[in-house]
Amino acid sequence: MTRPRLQYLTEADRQFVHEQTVRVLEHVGVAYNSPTLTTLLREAGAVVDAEKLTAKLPWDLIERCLKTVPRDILLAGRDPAYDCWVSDDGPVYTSDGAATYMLDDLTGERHEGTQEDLRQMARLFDALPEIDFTWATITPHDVDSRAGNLEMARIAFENSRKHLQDEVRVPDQAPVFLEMLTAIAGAPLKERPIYSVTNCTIAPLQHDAEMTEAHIQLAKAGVPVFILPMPQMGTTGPMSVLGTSILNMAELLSAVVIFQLAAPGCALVSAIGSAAAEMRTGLYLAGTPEQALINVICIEMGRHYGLRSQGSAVSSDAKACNLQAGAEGMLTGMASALAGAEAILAFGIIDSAQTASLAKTILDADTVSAIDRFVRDDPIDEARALVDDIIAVGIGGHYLGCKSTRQFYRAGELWQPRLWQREPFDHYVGTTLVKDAVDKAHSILATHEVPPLPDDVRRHVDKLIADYLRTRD
Amino acid sequence: MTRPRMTYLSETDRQFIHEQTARVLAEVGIGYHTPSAIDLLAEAGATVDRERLTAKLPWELVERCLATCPRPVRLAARNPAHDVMLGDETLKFCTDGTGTYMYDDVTGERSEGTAADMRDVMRLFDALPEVDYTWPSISARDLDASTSGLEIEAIALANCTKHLQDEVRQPAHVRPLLEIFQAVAGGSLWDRPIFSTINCTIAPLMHEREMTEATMELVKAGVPVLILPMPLTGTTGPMSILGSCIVNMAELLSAVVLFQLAQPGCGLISGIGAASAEMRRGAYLCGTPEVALMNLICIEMSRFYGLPVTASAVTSDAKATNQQAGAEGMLTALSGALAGADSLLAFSLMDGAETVSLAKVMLDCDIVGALKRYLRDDPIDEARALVDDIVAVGIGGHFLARKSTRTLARAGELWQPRVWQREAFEHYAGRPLVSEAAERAHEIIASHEVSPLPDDVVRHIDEVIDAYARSVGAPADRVPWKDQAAQ
Repeated sequence: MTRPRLQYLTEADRQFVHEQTVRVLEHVGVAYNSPTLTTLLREAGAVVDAEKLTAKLPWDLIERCLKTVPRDILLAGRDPAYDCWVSDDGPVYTSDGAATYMLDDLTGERHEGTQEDLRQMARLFDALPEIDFTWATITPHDVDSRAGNLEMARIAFENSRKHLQDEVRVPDQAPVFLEMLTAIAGAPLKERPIYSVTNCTIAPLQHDAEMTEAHIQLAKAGVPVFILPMPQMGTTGPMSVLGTSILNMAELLSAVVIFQLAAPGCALVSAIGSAAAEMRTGLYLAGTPEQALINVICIEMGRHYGLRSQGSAVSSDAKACNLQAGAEGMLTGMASALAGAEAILAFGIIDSAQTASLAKTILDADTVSAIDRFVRDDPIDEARALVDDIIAVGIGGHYLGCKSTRQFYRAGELWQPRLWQREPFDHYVGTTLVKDAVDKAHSILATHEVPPLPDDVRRHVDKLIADYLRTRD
Repeated sequence: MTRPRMTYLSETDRQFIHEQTARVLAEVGIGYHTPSAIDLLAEAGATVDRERLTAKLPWELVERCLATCPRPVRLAARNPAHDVMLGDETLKFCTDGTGTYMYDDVTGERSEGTAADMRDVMRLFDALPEVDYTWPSISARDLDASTSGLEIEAIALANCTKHLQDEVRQPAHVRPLLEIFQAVAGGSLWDRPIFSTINCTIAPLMHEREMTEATMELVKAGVPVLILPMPLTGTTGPMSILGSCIVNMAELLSAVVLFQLAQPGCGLISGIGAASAEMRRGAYLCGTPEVALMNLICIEMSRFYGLPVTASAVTSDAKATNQQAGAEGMLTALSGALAGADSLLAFSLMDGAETVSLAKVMLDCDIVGALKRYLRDDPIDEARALVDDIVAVGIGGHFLARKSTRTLARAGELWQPRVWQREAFEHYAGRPLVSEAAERAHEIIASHEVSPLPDDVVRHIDEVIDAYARSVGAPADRVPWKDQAAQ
């Protein structure tokens, strides 16, 4: 069996990147910004500055913590039929998040995200088999912002049976989340982790204490944590692909240490959020070749440390579902897939993660399944070579009458897109691809049914959020 | 130094494909359909069937012919500054051909290509540094059919100073074309091969007589050849990627044998034209992941045989410059580049190579630019790691004030696109990407100056074409190429 796979760094390169990462952690250290966390770190052998709430991490401590990270990570669905694993079984794909705006694909205008937008995106995600698990892709601006992530989780679980990933920003929401998630899962989260969190570190070399403390509570209860460092090359990261990757890895390992100390054996994934900054405006750029390279380096380094990786991919800075969106998406998608990422962030977002699009969600399904076809493990053997047919057809003639033609065609030797246009030009007069995609999204939304949460669960969830908001008044 | 590069086949896989390819050549053979070719092959030790004009090729013969193929192959240009060495381990980009229709990127309509379209497209290719050499992307349907085979090359040479690659379909065109090329090159094509020819084999396992005879003449004058087999999985090739690759490689090697026998040491390039067939209609599909995989296999096998290789890439079946065009283009480009192709056919074509878009030429420049950045051989060392800066900036803060930020930003650590849109959303209100790209193309065409061919060369070209026109009885009111292209 043979499949396309790319190895970028040599062993010496990996050793070099490793040594530089350790140098940063041992000599500069990391700000945890929380006495609880630095106490834990001091007890474990880190060199802590109690005043600045920073810690320098010796390699033996990091190594010890890496050993307790589990290899295969279950991301359970609300419905067990949608369980998926971050493992050696090939990449799982998730939707990207979290956009501020929703695009009208046909007019090119956009508006601030609403609950209805999130509902629609979640139902579309539920319907598309290419999407294995979900990140609440759009932030609704018409919910009480004090309970924003709780409301997002409620809307997402009501409209999708797939695993959900989001962030919990404040520690006092963690117990509410745990009760809500356990009610929806109908089982302890250690058994049915239907939710995982994205833990963003703050570049360079800092942790958001509130978010980290909230996520530690969740991790202790069995919620997997995707650690997402986001240094931007040239602003919050140094002006090189390599330097930004080293910073990414240093922040990642600093989070591995704190989570493993606080919740030994908790499930962690290296999610790669490093990107480039547009140097005149400082804007975040999500679709650059440099980002593709940072993904490759960090995925290889993640593997070096025995960690699973999620590449940020099929992402784009384009302002519409145009050629740029396709090319940037495929470049970043292929970079992660070929480097062997176990999870890939894709689907639904353009404009540097600012704007969500229904059409892009549908079109990305074709990008993702084309990538899957390309990286498929195929045999190189007599059965696939079809040389007997080549000999039988001989000089001239055709293969339409061969039995193998029908068999292999049916077995998927030629990948079929969902929406990409392959018929003759005249077939599509007046039907642009983006319009086709929007129509497809709307027709799915008009017919796709997601079984509602049981009434008692829904009431329970509603009450939890209402009670939480009362305590905030 | 480290760069992304991919090896798909194991050594065992390569050996397997090689054995199966050799088996096809020895057991089935090839329909050359060209009496002069059969004579050469028989003399060289192939088992020929003179009635059917076929030949079975023993591996020793193939191997002997491979041994005389040069690498790298020089593709000279009208302007020597644009000379290209194919096979020197750097990746080059050639334009793709040949579209029948010209697309209007703004209205979405299309019309048959004209001499004026071809002039514009070639001028754009001349201006764009991303284009290393050219295949005229659009056919000029308004030229008189009796002389268009010569006139399209005249238009291409007059409007672009880069190396020209194209098909020569008729043996009768060879002599006048050679005169034209030698006039433009200022001497022998052995010294300055400003033109290379594309030889398409016909799947499965055939050669076309007229094109083959023309190519056999051209190689004797020093013209390099891009050999382009085009089996389609499921119709003219078997319904598997692997099987179609074996047919592609067998046809390739059969052409290598013939042209090396015709002119030992002639420059040959492996072109990978194997593609997918849309199985309901049999239409040609060039943007599929299967095409990307066939690129991988055939590039690796071509390298195995020591041949320089051109892959079909940045191709698309999309009907406009949309998300599909970008994704298919990048997928096929990445596969070709990562597998180590010496050049990629890119730029301008969509719709299964039927339709040319000026906007796509510009947008493909950014695909090529992004690809080159991704593939760049970069050092993994202290100078690039910038750990001293990481240590100096420490916890919190930013890198904007670091000297390295300015130095590396200027040195191209962050690639800058030509047309792709990276500013804030509002910045582009009412300015869709495709309009910007089309406008940019038109601006370049309007302002770019191509140094004209010397007057005496143009006169000579006209004399050659006129003489040919008379010899074939072309209509007296035929509009010559210069006038047609000026319309």
